[in-house]
Amino acid sequence: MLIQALDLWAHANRWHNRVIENGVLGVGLLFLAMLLPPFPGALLVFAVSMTAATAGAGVPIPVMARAMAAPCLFLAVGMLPMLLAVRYSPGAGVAIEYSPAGLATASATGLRALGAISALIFLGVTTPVSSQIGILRRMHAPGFLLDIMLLTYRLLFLFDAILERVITAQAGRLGYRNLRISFRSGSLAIASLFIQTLTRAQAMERGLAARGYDGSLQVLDISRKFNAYRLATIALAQGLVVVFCLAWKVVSHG
Amino acid sequence: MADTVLEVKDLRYSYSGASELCQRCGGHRAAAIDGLSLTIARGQRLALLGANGAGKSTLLQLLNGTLRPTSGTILLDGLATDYTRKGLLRWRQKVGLVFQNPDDQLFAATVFQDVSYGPLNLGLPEAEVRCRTDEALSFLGIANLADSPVHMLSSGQRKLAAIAGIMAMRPEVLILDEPTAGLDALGSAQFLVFLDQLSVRGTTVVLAVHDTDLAFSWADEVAVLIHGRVARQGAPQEVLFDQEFLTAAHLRMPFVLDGWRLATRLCGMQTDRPPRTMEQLFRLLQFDS
Repeated sequence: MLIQALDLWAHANRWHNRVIENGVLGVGLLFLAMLLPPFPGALLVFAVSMTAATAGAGVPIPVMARAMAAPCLFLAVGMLPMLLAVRYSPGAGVAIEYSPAGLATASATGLRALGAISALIFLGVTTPVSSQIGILRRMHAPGFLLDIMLLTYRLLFLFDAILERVITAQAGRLGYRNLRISFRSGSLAIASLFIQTLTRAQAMERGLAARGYDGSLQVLDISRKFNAYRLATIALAQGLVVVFCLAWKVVSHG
Repeated sequence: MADTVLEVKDLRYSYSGASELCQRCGGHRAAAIDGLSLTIARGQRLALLGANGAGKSTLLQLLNGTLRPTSGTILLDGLATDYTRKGLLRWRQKVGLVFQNPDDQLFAATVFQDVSYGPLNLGLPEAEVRCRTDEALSFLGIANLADSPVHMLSSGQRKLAAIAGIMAMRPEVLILDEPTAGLDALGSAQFLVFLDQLSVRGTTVVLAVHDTDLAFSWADEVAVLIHGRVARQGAPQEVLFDQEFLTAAHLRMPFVLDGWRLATRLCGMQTDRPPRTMEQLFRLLQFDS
Protein backbone atom coordinates (compact mmCIF):
# COMPACT_ATOMS: atom_id res chain seq x y z
CA MET A 1 0.00 0.00 0.00
CA LEU A 2 1.39 3.39 -1.06
CA ILE A 3 0.44 5.20 2.11
CA GLN A 4 2.34 2.65 4.20
CA ALA A 5 5.41 2.98 1.99
CA LEU A 6 5.32 6.77 2.28
CA ASP A 7 4.89 6.59 6.05
CA LEU A 8 7.77 4.13 6.30
CA TRP A 9 10.07 6.42 4.31
CA ALA A 10 8.95 9.41 6.38
CA HIS A 11 10.50 7.60 9.36
CA ALA A 12 13.39 5.94 7.55
CA ASN A 13 14.79 8.76 5.38
CA ARG A 14 18.07 10.52 6.23
CA TRP A 15 16.33 13.80 7.09
CA HIS A 16 13.52 12.44 9.29
CA ASN A 17 14.88 14.22 12.37
CA ARG A 18 15.27 17.59 10.60
CA VAL A 19 11.64 18.47 11.23
CA ILE A 20 11.99 22.24 11.35
CA GLU A 21 14.34 22.39 8.37
CA ASN A 22 12.03 20.13 6.31
CA GLY A 23 9.06 22.29 7.28
CA VAL A 24 10.80 25.52 6.25
CA LEU A 25 11.93 24.02 2.95
CA GLY A 26 8.60 22.34 2.10
CA VAL A 27 6.32 25.22 3.08
CA GLY A 28 8.70 27.75 1.53
CA LEU A 29 8.72 25.89 -1.78
CA LEU A 30 4.94 25.64 -1.64
CA PHE A 31 4.66 29.41 -1.36
CA LEU A 32 7.20 29.90 -4.15
CA ALA A 33 5.18 27.57 -6.41
CA MET A 34 2.12 29.70 -5.84
CA LEU A 35 3.78 33.12 -6.05
CA LEU A 36 6.43 32.80 -8.77
CA PRO A 37 5.61 32.68 -12.50
CA PRO A 38 4.75 29.06 -13.38
CA PHE A 39 7.57 28.95 -15.92
CA PRO A 40 10.27 28.58 -14.82
CA GLY A 41 9.30 29.13 -11.12
CA ALA A 42 7.08 26.08 -10.55
CA LEU A 43 9.41 23.90 -12.60
CA LEU A 44 12.33 24.96 -10.44
CA VAL A 45 10.30 24.23 -7.29
CA PHE A 46 9.55 20.77 -8.69
CA ALA A 47 13.24 20.16 -9.44
CA VAL A 48 14.39 21.36 -5.99
CA SER A 49 11.72 19.27 -4.19
CA MET A 50 12.54 16.09 -6.07
CA THR A 51 16.31 16.55 -5.72
CA ALA A 52 16.02 17.29 -2.00
CA ALA A 53 13.80 14.23 -1.42
CA THR A 54 15.84 11.76 -3.47
CA ALA A 55 19.45 12.96 -3.38
CA GLY A 56 19.19 14.70 -0.01
CA ALA A 57 16.83 12.64 2.14
CA GLY A 58 17.53 9.40 0.28
CA VAL A 59 13.97 8.52 -0.66
CA PRO A 60 14.12 6.14 -3.66
CA ILE A 61 13.06 7.61 -7.00
CA PRO A 62 10.40 4.88 -7.61
CA VAL A 63 8.75 5.78 -4.27
CA MET A 64 8.63 9.46 -5.24
CA ALA A 65 7.33 8.54 -8.70
CA ARG A 66 4.53 6.44 -7.15
CA ALA A 67 3.72 9.26 -4.73
CA MET A 68 3.48 11.78 -7.56
CA ALA A 69 1.52 9.50 -9.91
CA ALA A 70 -1.96 9.77 -8.37
CA PRO A 71 -2.05 13.59 -7.92
CA CYS A 72 -0.56 14.04 -11.40
CA LEU A 73 -3.33 11.87 -12.84
CA PHE A 74 -5.96 14.04 -11.13
CA LEU A 75 -4.12 17.10 -12.41
CA ALA A 76 -4.10 15.79 -15.99
CA VAL A 77 -7.83 15.01 -15.85
CA GLY A 78 -8.49 18.49 -14.48
CA MET A 79 -6.40 20.14 -17.22
CA LEU A 80 -8.16 18.45 -20.12
CA PRO A 81 -11.32 20.62 -20.07
CA MET A 82 -9.10 23.74 -20.09
CA LEU A 83 -7.74 22.75 -23.52
CA LEU A 84 -11.21 22.71 -25.00
CA ALA A 85 -13.60 25.49 -25.89
CA VAL A 86 -17.33 25.26 -26.54
CA ARG A 87 -18.38 27.27 -29.60
CA TYR A 88 -21.89 27.94 -30.84
CA SER A 89 -22.69 29.07 -34.33
CA PRO A 90 -26.23 29.33 -35.73
CA GLY A 91 -25.38 27.10 -38.68
CA ALA A 92 -23.24 24.39 -37.12
CA GLY A 93 -24.76 24.41 -33.66
CA VAL A 94 -22.66 23.57 -30.60
CA ALA A 95 -19.08 22.46 -31.28
CA ILE A 96 -16.29 21.47 -28.90
CA GLU A 97 -12.85 22.31 -30.23
CA TYR A 98 -9.21 22.75 -29.19
CA SER A 99 -8.44 26.17 -27.75
CA PRO A 100 -4.93 27.66 -28.15
CA ALA A 101 -5.72 30.17 -25.39
CA GLY A 102 -6.75 27.24 -23.15
CA LEU A 103 -3.34 25.65 -23.66
CA ALA A 104 -1.62 28.61 -22.00
CA THR A 105 -4.05 28.55 -19.06
CA ALA A 106 -3.79 24.77 -18.70
CA SER A 107 0.01 24.72 -18.80
CA ALA A 108 0.29 27.59 -16.28
CA THR A 109 -2.20 25.95 -13.90
CA GLY A 110 -0.66 22.52 -14.39
CA LEU A 111 2.89 23.70 -13.76
CA ARG A 112 1.89 25.67 -10.67
CA ALA A 113 -0.04 22.68 -9.29
CA LEU A 114 2.85 20.32 -10.09
CA GLY A 115 5.28 22.52 -8.17
CA ALA A 116 2.93 22.80 -5.20
CA ILE A 117 2.26 19.03 -5.15
CA SER A 118 5.97 18.21 -5.27
CA ALA A 119 6.67 20.56 -2.33
CA LEU A 120 3.90 18.94 -0.27
CA ILE A 121 5.04 15.43 -1.16
CA PHE A 122 8.59 16.36 -0.21
CA LEU A 123 7.29 17.36 3.22
CA GLY A 124 5.10 14.27 3.54
CA VAL A 125 7.77 11.80 2.58
CA THR A 126 10.61 13.29 4.63
CA THR A 127 8.83 14.32 7.83
CA PRO A 128 6.79 11.92 10.01
CA VAL A 129 3.17 12.99 10.56
CA SER A 130 3.73 12.84 14.32
CA SER A 131 6.50 15.46 14.02
CA GLN A 132 4.37 17.63 11.70
CA ILE A 133 1.58 17.58 14.31
CA GLY A 134 4.11 18.42 17.02
CA ILE A 135 5.31 21.47 15.08
CA LEU A 136 1.73 22.58 14.37
CA ARG A 137 0.99 22.28 18.09
CA ARG A 138 3.98 24.51 18.87
CA MET A 139 2.60 26.99 16.32
CA HIS A 140 -0.69 26.99 18.31
CA ALA A 141 -2.80 25.43 15.55
CA PRO A 142 -6.42 24.76 16.71
CA GLY A 143 -6.46 21.83 19.15
CA PHE A 144 -9.49 20.08 17.69
CA LEU A 145 -7.86 20.06 14.26
CA LEU A 146 -4.71 18.44 15.65
CA ASP A 147 -6.80 15.89 17.60
CA ILE A 148 -8.55 14.91 14.37
CA MET A 149 -5.21 14.67 12.53
CA LEU A 150 -3.75 12.52 15.31
CA LEU A 151 -6.70 10.13 15.47
CA THR A 152 -7.02 9.90 11.69
CA TYR A 153 -3.34 9.01 11.38
CA ARG A 154 -3.51 6.35 14.13
CA LEU A 155 -6.85 4.86 13.07
CA LEU A 156 -5.91 4.73 9.40
CA PHE A 157 -3.29 2.08 10.12
CA LEU A 158 -5.44 0.34 12.73
CA PHE A 159 -8.33 -0.04 10.27
CA ASP A 160 -5.99 -1.03 7.48
CA ALA A 161 -4.74 -3.88 9.70
CA ILE A 162 -8.33 -4.93 10.48
CA LEU A 163 -9.32 -4.87 6.81
CA GLU A 164 -6.23 -6.86 5.84
CA ARG A 165 -7.08 -9.53 8.45
CA VAL A 166 -10.70 -9.75 7.25
CA ILE A 167 -9.68 -10.04 3.58
CA THR A 168 -7.03 -12.67 4.40
CA ALA A 169 -9.61 -14.68 6.35
CA GLN A 170 -12.08 -14.40 3.46
CA ALA A 171 -9.46 -15.36 0.86
CA GLY A 172 -8.63 -18.44 2.95
CA ARG A 173 -12.22 -19.54 2.48
CA LEU A 174 -12.18 -18.85 -1.28
CA GLY A 175 -13.96 -15.52 -0.83
CA TYR A 176 -12.24 -14.00 -3.88
CA ARG A 177 -12.62 -16.95 -6.28
CA ASN A 178 -14.38 -15.00 -9.00
CA LEU A 179 -15.64 -11.50 -9.64
CA ARG A 180 -19.17 -12.07 -8.32
CA ILE A 181 -17.96 -13.62 -5.09
CA SER A 182 -15.24 -10.97 -4.80
CA PHE A 183 -17.85 -8.19 -4.91
CA ARG A 184 -19.87 -9.95 -2.23
CA SER A 185 -16.81 -10.57 -0.04
CA GLY A 186 -15.63 -7.01 -0.51
CA SER A 187 -18.97 -5.59 0.58
CA LEU A 188 -19.04 -7.91 3.60
CA ALA A 189 -15.49 -6.85 4.50
CA ILE A 190 -16.51 -3.18 4.39
CA ALA A 191 -19.61 -3.91 6.50
CA SER A 192 -17.41 -5.78 8.99
CA LEU A 193 -14.94 -2.89 9.06
CA PHE A 194 -17.79 -0.51 9.88
CA ILE A 195 -18.88 -2.61 12.88
CA GLN A 196 -15.30 -3.13 14.04
CA THR A 197 -14.66 0.59 13.70
CA LEU A 198 -17.50 1.35 16.09
CA THR A 199 -16.32 -1.33 18.54
CA ARG A 200 -12.74 -0.06 18.32
CA ALA A 201 -13.88 3.54 18.86
CA GLN A 202 -15.83 2.52 21.98
CA ALA A 203 -12.87 0.52 23.32
CA MET A 204 -10.51 3.42 22.66
CA GLU A 205 -12.88 5.81 24.41
CA ARG A 206 -12.77 3.55 27.49
CA GLY A 207 -8.98 3.33 27.23
CA LEU A 208 -8.66 7.11 27.09
CA ALA A 209 -11.15 7.54 29.96
CA ALA A 210 -8.92 5.32 32.10
CA ARG A 211 -6.12 7.85 31.56
CA GLY A 212 -8.18 10.90 32.46
CA TYR A 213 -9.52 11.91 29.02
CA ASP A 214 -11.26 15.26 29.40
CA GLY A 215 -12.16 16.06 25.82
CA SER A 216 -8.76 16.94 24.42
CA LEU A 217 -5.89 14.74 23.26
CA GLN A 218 -2.95 16.69 24.62
CA VAL A 219 0.41 15.06 24.04
CA LEU A 220 4.05 16.14 24.18
CA ASP A 221 6.53 15.56 21.43
CA ILE A 222 10.24 14.90 21.73
CA SER A 223 12.12 18.20 21.80
CA ARG A 224 13.30 19.17 18.31
CA LYS A 225 16.38 21.25 17.65
CA PHE A 226 17.28 22.95 14.39
CA ASN A 227 20.54 23.71 12.73
CA ALA A 228 20.98 27.38 11.82
CA TYR A 229 23.52 26.53 9.11
CA ARG A 230 21.01 24.21 7.40
CA LEU A 231 18.26 26.83 7.67
CA ALA A 232 20.56 29.38 6.06
CA THR A 233 21.32 26.92 3.23
CA ILE A 234 17.58 26.39 2.68
CA ALA A 235 16.96 30.14 2.60
CA LEU A 236 19.82 30.50 0.11
CA ALA A 237 18.38 27.78 -2.15
CA GLN A 238 14.95 29.39 -2.07
CA GLY A 239 16.52 32.78 -2.73
CA LEU A 240 18.36 31.37 -5.75
CA VAL A 241 15.05 30.07 -7.16
CA VAL A 242 13.56 33.57 -6.84
CA VAL A 243 16.65 35.25 -8.37
CA PHE A 244 16.72 32.77 -11.27
CA CYS A 245 13.04 33.43 -11.99
CA LEU A 246 13.50 37.18 -11.94
CA ALA A 247 16.56 36.92 -14.20
CA TRP A 248 14.63 34.69 -16.60
CA LYS A 249 11.80 37.23 -16.71
CA VAL A 250 14.19 40.09 -17.44
CA VAL A 251 16.06 38.16 -20.15
CA SER A 252 12.89 36.85 -21.84
CA HIS A 253 11.36 40.35 -21.95
CA GLY A 254 14.50 42.10 -22.76
CA MET B 1 -5.56 -6.01 59.91
CA ALA B 2 -3.75 -5.09 56.69
CA ASP B 3 -4.20 -1.57 55.34
CA THR B 4 -6.85 -1.84 52.63
CA VAL B 5 -6.38 0.33 49.54
CA LEU B 6 -9.44 -0.83 47.59
CA GLU B 7 -12.56 -2.48 48.90
CA VAL B 8 -15.51 -3.62 46.84
CA LYS B 9 -18.85 -4.42 48.46
CA ASP B 10 -21.76 -6.19 46.81
CA LEU B 11 -20.94 -4.80 43.35
CA ARG B 12 -23.29 -5.36 40.41
CA TYR B 13 -22.91 -4.38 36.78
CA SER B 14 -24.86 -5.26 33.65
CA TYR B 15 -24.00 -4.24 30.12
CA SER B 16 -26.76 -2.34 28.35
CA GLY B 17 -29.11 -4.75 26.54
CA ALA B 18 -27.54 -7.80 28.21
CA SER B 19 -30.72 -8.82 30.04
CA GLU B 20 -32.78 -8.65 26.81
CA LEU B 21 -30.18 -10.75 25.00
CA CYS B 22 -30.13 -13.16 27.93
CA GLN B 23 -33.89 -13.62 27.78
CA ARG B 24 -33.77 -14.25 24.03
CA CYS B 25 -30.80 -16.61 23.98
CA GLY B 26 -31.28 -18.32 27.34
CA GLY B 27 -28.54 -19.93 29.34
CA HIS B 28 -26.43 -16.78 29.81
CA ARG B 29 -26.45 -14.66 32.92
CA ALA B 30 -27.57 -11.05 32.55
CA ALA B 31 -25.15 -9.42 34.99
CA ALA B 32 -21.45 -9.34 34.18
CA ILE B 33 -20.72 -8.62 37.85
CA ASP B 34 -23.24 -10.04 40.27
CA GLY B 35 -22.87 -9.18 43.96
CA LEU B 36 -19.06 -9.18 44.00
CA SER B 37 -17.06 -8.33 47.13
CA LEU B 38 -13.28 -8.06 47.26
CA THR B 39 -10.56 -6.44 49.37
CA ILE B 40 -7.13 -5.41 48.11
CA ALA B 41 -4.45 -4.69 50.70
CA ARG B 42 -1.90 -1.93 50.16
CA GLY B 43 1.30 -3.20 48.55
CA GLN B 44 -0.30 -6.56 47.84
CA ARG B 45 0.18 -8.68 44.72
CA LEU B 46 -3.25 -9.96 43.86
CA ALA B 47 -4.13 -12.27 40.97
CA LEU B 48 -7.71 -12.37 39.73
CA LEU B 49 -8.42 -15.72 38.16
CA GLY B 50 -11.45 -16.91 36.27
CA ALA B 51 -12.66 -18.56 33.10
CA ASN B 52 -13.57 -16.56 29.99
CA GLY B 53 -16.66 -14.46 30.72
CA ALA B 54 -16.25 -14.74 34.50
CA GLY B 55 -16.22 -10.92 34.72
CA LYS B 56 -12.50 -10.21 35.23
CA SER B 57 -12.15 -7.48 32.60
CA THR B 58 -15.41 -5.82 33.65
CA LEU B 59 -14.30 -5.83 37.29
CA LEU B 60 -10.99 -4.19 36.38
CA GLN B 61 -12.79 -1.40 34.54
CA LEU B 62 -15.04 -0.89 37.55
CA LEU B 63 -12.00 -0.72 39.84
CA ASN B 64 -10.69 2.49 38.25
CA GLY B 65 -14.03 4.11 37.49
CA THR B 66 -14.00 3.48 33.73
CA LEU B 67 -17.35 1.70 34.18
CA ARG B 68 -19.94 2.77 36.71
CA PRO B 69 -21.61 -0.04 38.69
CA THR B 70 -25.36 -0.61 38.65
CA SER B 71 -25.21 -0.95 42.44
CA GLY B 72 -22.71 -1.59 45.22
CA THR B 73 -19.81 0.35 46.69
CA ILE B 74 -16.14 0.78 45.88
CA LEU B 75 -14.00 2.25 48.65
CA LEU B 76 -10.65 3.81 47.80
CA ASP B 77 -8.47 4.41 50.88
CA GLY B 78 -11.61 3.81 52.97
CA LEU B 79 -13.60 6.55 51.23
CA ALA B 80 -16.52 5.95 48.88
CA THR B 81 -15.51 6.72 45.31
CA ASP B 82 -17.35 9.47 43.50
CA TYR B 83 -17.93 9.80 39.78
CA THR B 84 -17.59 13.56 39.52
CA ARG B 85 -14.89 14.91 37.19
CA LYS B 86 -12.62 15.75 40.13
CA GLY B 87 -13.35 12.45 41.86
CA LEU B 88 -12.55 10.43 38.74
CA LEU B 89 -9.30 12.35 38.17
CA ARG B 90 -8.12 11.56 41.72
CA TRP B 91 -9.27 7.94 41.36
CA ARG B 92 -7.50 7.35 38.05
CA GLN B 93 -4.36 8.98 39.35
CA LYS B 94 -4.30 6.45 42.18
CA VAL B 95 -5.56 3.41 40.27
CA GLY B 96 -4.07 2.82 36.83
CA LEU B 97 -5.56 0.29 34.44
CA VAL B 98 -3.73 -1.37 31.55
CA PHE B 99 -6.15 -2.95 29.07
CA GLN B 100 -5.70 -6.40 27.58
CA ASN B 101 -5.55 -5.05 24.03
CA PRO B 102 -2.96 -2.24 23.85
CA ASP B 103 -4.76 -0.78 20.82
CA ASP B 104 -7.60 0.18 23.20
CA GLN B 105 -5.19 2.60 24.83
CA LEU B 106 -2.66 3.72 22.26
CA PHE B 107 -4.02 6.56 20.17
CA ALA B 108 -1.07 8.85 19.55
CA ALA B 109 1.32 8.76 16.63
CA THR B 110 4.50 7.97 18.58
CA VAL B 111 5.29 6.14 21.80
CA PHE B 112 6.60 9.30 23.50
CA GLN B 113 3.45 11.23 22.62
CA ASP B 114 1.22 8.46 23.92
CA VAL B 115 3.04 8.01 27.21
CA SER B 116 2.96 11.77 27.85
CA TYR B 117 -0.84 11.84 27.53
CA GLY B 118 -1.77 10.59 31.04
CA PRO B 119 0.64 12.85 32.98
CA LEU B 120 -0.54 15.87 30.93
CA ASN B 121 -4.11 15.07 31.95
CA LEU B 122 -2.99 15.25 35.58
CA GLY B 123 -2.18 18.92 34.94
CA LEU B 124 1.56 18.50 35.53
CA PRO B 125 4.07 21.03 34.12
CA GLU B 126 5.79 20.10 30.84
CA ALA B 127 9.20 19.47 32.43
CA GLU B 128 7.67 17.03 34.92
CA VAL B 129 5.73 15.27 32.15
CA ARG B 130 8.93 14.84 30.11
CA CYS B 131 10.74 13.51 33.17
CA ARG B 132 7.98 10.98 33.96
CA THR B 133 7.69 9.91 30.32
CA ASP B 134 11.45 9.31 30.03
CA GLU B 135 11.47 7.47 33.35
CA ALA B 136 8.58 5.15 32.43
CA LEU B 137 10.14 4.34 29.04
CA SER B 138 13.54 3.63 30.62
CA PHE B 139 11.99 1.53 33.41
CA LEU B 140 10.34 -0.72 30.83
CA GLY B 141 13.44 -0.78 28.63
CA ILE B 142 11.75 0.87 25.64
CA ALA B 143 13.45 4.28 25.67
CA ASN B 144 14.82 3.44 22.20
CA LEU B 145 11.23 3.28 20.90
CA ALA B 146 10.27 6.79 22.08
CA ASP B 147 10.15 8.26 18.58
CA SER B 148 8.73 5.13 16.92
CA PRO B 149 5.28 5.24 15.37
CA VAL B 150 2.84 3.11 17.34
CA HIS B 151 1.59 1.19 14.30
CA MET B 152 5.10 -0.07 13.52
CA LEU B 153 5.57 -1.73 16.93
CA SER B 154 5.22 -5.47 17.57
CA SER B 155 2.36 -6.57 19.82
CA GLY B 156 4.77 -7.06 22.74
CA GLN B 157 6.25 -3.59 22.26
CA ARG B 158 2.73 -2.09 22.05
CA LYS B 159 1.89 -3.81 25.33
CA LEU B 160 4.95 -2.29 27.02
CA ALA B 161 4.10 1.14 25.56
CA ALA B 162 0.56 0.85 26.99
CA ILE B 163 1.97 -0.08 30.41
CA ALA B 164 4.43 2.85 30.23
CA GLY B 165 1.46 5.16 29.56
CA ILE B 166 -0.07 4.14 32.90
CA MET B 167 3.26 3.94 34.75
CA ALA B 168 3.98 7.56 33.87
CA MET B 169 0.89 8.52 35.91
CA ARG B 170 2.59 6.87 38.93
CA PRO B 171 -0.49 5.08 40.29
CA GLU B 172 -0.54 3.56 43.78
CA VAL B 173 -2.47 0.61 42.41
CA LEU B 174 -1.57 -0.84 39.02
CA ILE B 175 -4.19 -3.09 37.44
CA LEU B 176 -3.25 -5.16 34.41
CA ASP B 177 -5.60 -7.22 32.28
CA GLU B 178 -3.86 -10.34 30.90
CA PRO B 179 -0.49 -8.59 30.80
CA THR B 180 1.50 -11.54 29.48
CA ALA B 181 -0.88 -12.25 26.58
CA GLY B 182 1.01 -11.49 23.38
CA LEU B 183 4.42 -11.59 25.06
CA ASP B 184 6.91 -14.33 24.24
CA ALA B 185 8.56 -16.42 26.98
CA LEU B 186 11.47 -14.01 27.41
CA GLY B 187 9.14 -11.01 27.35
CA SER B 188 6.93 -12.61 30.01
CA ALA B 189 9.92 -13.37 32.24
CA GLN B 190 11.19 -9.77 31.89
CA PHE B 191 7.72 -8.52 32.61
CA LEU B 192 7.56 -10.46 35.89
CA VAL B 193 10.88 -8.91 36.93
CA PHE B 194 9.37 -5.51 36.20
CA LEU B 195 6.34 -6.39 38.38
CA ASP B 196 8.68 -7.43 41.21
CA GLN B 197 10.47 -4.08 40.95
CA LEU B 198 7.13 -2.30 41.19
CA SER B 199 6.20 -4.30 44.28
CA VAL B 200 9.50 -3.37 45.90
CA ARG B 201 8.58 0.27 45.31
CA GLY B 202 5.36 -0.36 47.26
CA THR B 203 2.94 -0.33 44.32
CA THR B 204 -0.11 -2.52 44.74
CA VAL B 205 -0.36 -4.76 41.67
CA VAL B 206 -3.51 -6.54 40.52
CA LEU B 207 -3.35 -8.96 37.58
CA ALA B 208 -6.26 -10.58 35.80
CA VAL B 209 -4.97 -13.83 34.32
CA HIS B 210 -5.98 -17.27 33.12
CA ASP B 211 -2.60 -18.73 33.90
CA THR B 212 -2.76 -20.43 37.30
CA ASP B 213 1.00 -21.19 37.16
CA LEU B 214 1.76 -17.49 36.91
CA ALA B 215 -0.76 -16.60 39.63
CA PHE B 216 0.59 -19.30 41.95
CA SER B 217 4.25 -18.35 41.63
CA TRP B 218 3.76 -14.59 41.65
CA ALA B 219 0.76 -13.58 43.81
CA ASP B 220 0.50 -13.00 47.55
CA GLU B 221 -3.19 -13.71 47.23
CA VAL B 222 -5.57 -14.96 44.56
CA ALA B 223 -9.27 -14.26 44.03
CA VAL B 224 -11.23 -16.65 41.81
CA LEU B 225 -14.25 -15.30 39.95
CA ILE B 226 -17.16 -17.50 38.97
CA HIS B 227 -20.19 -15.97 37.22
CA GLY B 228 -19.35 -12.40 38.24
CA ARG B 229 -18.63 -13.13 41.91
CA VAL B 230 -15.51 -13.77 43.93
CA ALA B 231 -16.01 -17.42 44.81
CA ARG B 232 -12.84 -17.60 46.89
CA GLN B 233 -10.08 -15.22 47.95
CA GLY B 234 -7.03 -16.32 49.87
CA ALA B 235 -3.48 -17.65 49.80
CA PRO B 236 -2.59 -19.28 46.43
CA GLN B 237 -1.51 -22.58 48.00
CA GLU B 238 -4.91 -22.91 49.69
CA VAL B 239 -7.25 -21.70 46.94
CA LEU B 240 -5.42 -23.39 44.07
CA PHE B 241 -5.01 -26.73 45.82
CA ASP B 242 -8.74 -27.51 45.83
CA GLN B 243 -9.20 -29.62 42.68
CA GLU B 244 -13.00 -29.75 42.98
CA PHE B 245 -13.24 -26.00 43.29
CA LEU B 246 -10.84 -25.43 40.41
CA THR B 247 -12.89 -27.71 38.16
CA ALA B 248 -16.01 -25.69 38.99
CA ALA B 249 -14.10 -22.50 38.14
CA HIS B 250 -12.86 -23.99 34.82
CA LEU B 251 -9.26 -23.66 35.98
CA ARG B 252 -6.47 -26.16 36.35
CA MET B 253 -4.20 -26.78 39.27
CA PRO B 254 -0.78 -25.10 38.96
CA PHE B 255 1.87 -27.48 37.65
CA VAL B 256 4.04 -27.19 40.78
CA LEU B 257 1.10 -27.90 43.11
CA ASP B 258 -0.07 -30.78 40.96
CA GLY B 259 3.45 -32.25 41.01
CA TRP B 260 3.61 -31.87 44.78
CA ARG B 261 0.18 -33.48 45.16
CA LEU B 262 1.29 -36.45 43.05
CA ALA B 263 4.60 -36.70 44.91
CA THR B 264 2.87 -36.78 48.30
CA ARG B 265 0.32 -39.32 47.09
CA LEU B 266 2.53 -41.65 45.02
CA CYS B 267 5.89 -41.32 46.78
CA GLY B 268 4.54 -40.68 50.25
CA MET B 269 6.49 -37.42 50.51
CA GLN B 270 5.89 -35.78 53.90
CA THR B 271 5.85 -31.96 53.85
CA ASP B 272 3.44 -29.46 55.31
CA ARG B 273 4.26 -26.47 53.13
CA PRO B 274 3.69 -26.81 49.41
CA PRO B 275 6.47 -25.48 47.14
CA ARG B 276 5.91 -22.22 45.26
CA THR B 277 8.32 -22.77 42.44
CA MET B 278 9.61 -25.61 40.31
CA GLU B 279 13.00 -25.31 41.99
CA GLN B 280 11.45 -25.73 45.44
CA LEU B 281 9.54 -28.80 44.23
CA PHE B 282 12.71 -30.43 42.89
CA ARG B 283 14.59 -29.66 46.11
CA LEU B 284 11.79 -31.32 48.10
CA LEU B 285 11.84 -34.36 45.83
CA GLN B 286 15.65 -34.54 46.02
CA PHE B 287 15.63 -34.24 49.82
CA ASP B 288 12.87 -36.86 50.17
CA SER B 289 14.64 -39.41 47.97
